[in-house]
Amino acid sequence: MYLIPFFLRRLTHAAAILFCVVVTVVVAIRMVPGDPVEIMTAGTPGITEHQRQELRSQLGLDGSLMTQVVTSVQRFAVGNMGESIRFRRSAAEVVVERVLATVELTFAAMFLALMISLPLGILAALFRGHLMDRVASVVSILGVSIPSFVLGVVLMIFFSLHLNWFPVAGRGGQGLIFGLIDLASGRGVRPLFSALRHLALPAFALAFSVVAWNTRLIRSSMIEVLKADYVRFARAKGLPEFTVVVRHAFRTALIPTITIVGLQMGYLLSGAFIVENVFAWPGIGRLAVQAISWRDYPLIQAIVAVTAVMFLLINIAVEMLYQIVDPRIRHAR
Amino acid sequence: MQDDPCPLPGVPAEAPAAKAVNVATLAPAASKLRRVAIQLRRKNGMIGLIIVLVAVIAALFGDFLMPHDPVAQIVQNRFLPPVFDGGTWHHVLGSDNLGRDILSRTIAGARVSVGVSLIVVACALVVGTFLGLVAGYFGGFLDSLIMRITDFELSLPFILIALIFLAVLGPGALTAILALAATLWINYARLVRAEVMKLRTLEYVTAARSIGVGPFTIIRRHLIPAILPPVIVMATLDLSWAMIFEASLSFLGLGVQPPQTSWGVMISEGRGFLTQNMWIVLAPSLGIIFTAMGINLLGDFLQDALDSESGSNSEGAEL
Repeated sequence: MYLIPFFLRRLTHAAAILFCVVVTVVVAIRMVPGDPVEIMTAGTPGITEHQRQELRSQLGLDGSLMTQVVTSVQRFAVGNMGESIRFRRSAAEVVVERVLATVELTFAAMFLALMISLPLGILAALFRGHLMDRVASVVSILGVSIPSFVLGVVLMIFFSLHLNWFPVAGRGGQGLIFGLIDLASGRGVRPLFSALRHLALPAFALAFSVVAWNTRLIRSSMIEVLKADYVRFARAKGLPEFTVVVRHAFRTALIPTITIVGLQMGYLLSGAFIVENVFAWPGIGRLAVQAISWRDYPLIQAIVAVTAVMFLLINIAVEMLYQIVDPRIRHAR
Repeated sequence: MQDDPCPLPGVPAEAPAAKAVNVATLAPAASKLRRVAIQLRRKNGMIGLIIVLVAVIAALFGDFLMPHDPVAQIVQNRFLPPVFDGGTWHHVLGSDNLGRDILSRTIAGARVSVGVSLIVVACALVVGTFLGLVAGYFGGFLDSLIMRITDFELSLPFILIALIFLAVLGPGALTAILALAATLWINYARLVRAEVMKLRTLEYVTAARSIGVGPFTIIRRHLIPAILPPVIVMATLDLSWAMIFEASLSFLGLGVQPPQTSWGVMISEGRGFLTQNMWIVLAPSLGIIFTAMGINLLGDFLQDALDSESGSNSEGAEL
């Protein structure tokens, strides 16, 4: 129950940030040199002056800056982000349709990153100076040096074009969640398997740099924790080494990792925008690049707003998790 | 050394008490290991320095190093293989889909990639350090204003800031520079502010102030030299970040625009021809990876070197 006031506080904070985002975006569109509507509609043949005027009022460009900000905030608050010029329908709808793909990729990458970096970091800490430690240090220097899109292209060359193990691009149907639903409703493992195969390379390309950071972090916090008195005590009372490492040391060493996971979600989200374009993953990242080349301002606004909401919600979720996991916070009510 | 973390149960190898005493006399083996580690570290730093120097030389003197004109399109020369794959020494790394020499383009790309990241980090460093100094030294309203801006930016992923810049200015090298610098400056502002707040209460600063030294002299003579080492380390590590994200934005077609070339642009252009000649993609990829690795190695080395110089904790040098 101690979580509720915390949750509300974070929610207020998130709302304030969202407000700032909307204001920034509105002011930013206002600062576009020249007439944004002219620029936007330059690539759309057959648009009438009446439609242009409509667009102008939709973007709030016909009033003063103050009224524009106020009306935009009001509109955004009810989820109305205008109509995409390219798709000729609600921009929010277009974006929300693609959110799931991006979220799926981001979470899959985080999951993969933790699955690799946790054992690697722990083993590197336990066997300092040995093979695993070397592997970990090579991974941690490579991870911060290889851009995700380069890794993506290299993985694609090797695993898709040469070995033919994984599909070159796309999401392969409806994605992971629908694959699971299909499995549960007895329609076979094929959709799930296809989703996983499509997900593997993009998720790994995205995850690699996070693997590097987390391995470093887990290794050093594990080394720190293994020196602690309570770990020595656990050993002294004759607990098996496995129990000492997993039950005692690891749980404490995990706390700094969880703290940084929140920050890394933002990094992964940014990375997802890039990796999506390598693997033709139908998420908001690809949409964003297209929206910018189309100069589809309502769509860009919607993408920025939805991404911000997504990111803030993910962060709140991570912080809640942190509150639950860390016994110092859990018991300090 | 299988049981390195704890050779005997209950008697940790590195008991905290041992740190107070001279470690070398107590454990000669450990100190020897440590010395080797330091040398290795130096070696890493040296490798990093060499790679960075090569990249900088390629960027500065690229015009003299390029065997061909990087933008000359010779249609007969399309998709020439590299020399170790049946090609000729005339085009060492082969040529791309428009018959342009890949080696020359990779060298030309170095200039843009290295140049852009240097500009980005320089802008971020100057603006961030200035605002951090103002916030940390003077405090008050300016401090809270600057800190709220950094809080706001920190609570958003980088890509959103880039999107806002791209929406206003359209794709281009300048947009990429501004978007990256606008993301990075907060690191310096926060670091410098924290350092300054710590330093301004120290005796030598309060003493200077009490004998009537002006704030600008104090900042210039007493604060900036003290905050410089961590700022330099951060700048070095940020260089690789800036390079990677400039390449990423250019790859997406949102940064450097063709016909100007950068490593990101080359990868983006070559991506469609992976089956014909994957060297179009691999040469610039290796360029980014090696340069970023060199910068990171150098940065790690500087971090340890400057850290031990300032006498702060040696535990940080463990990795």
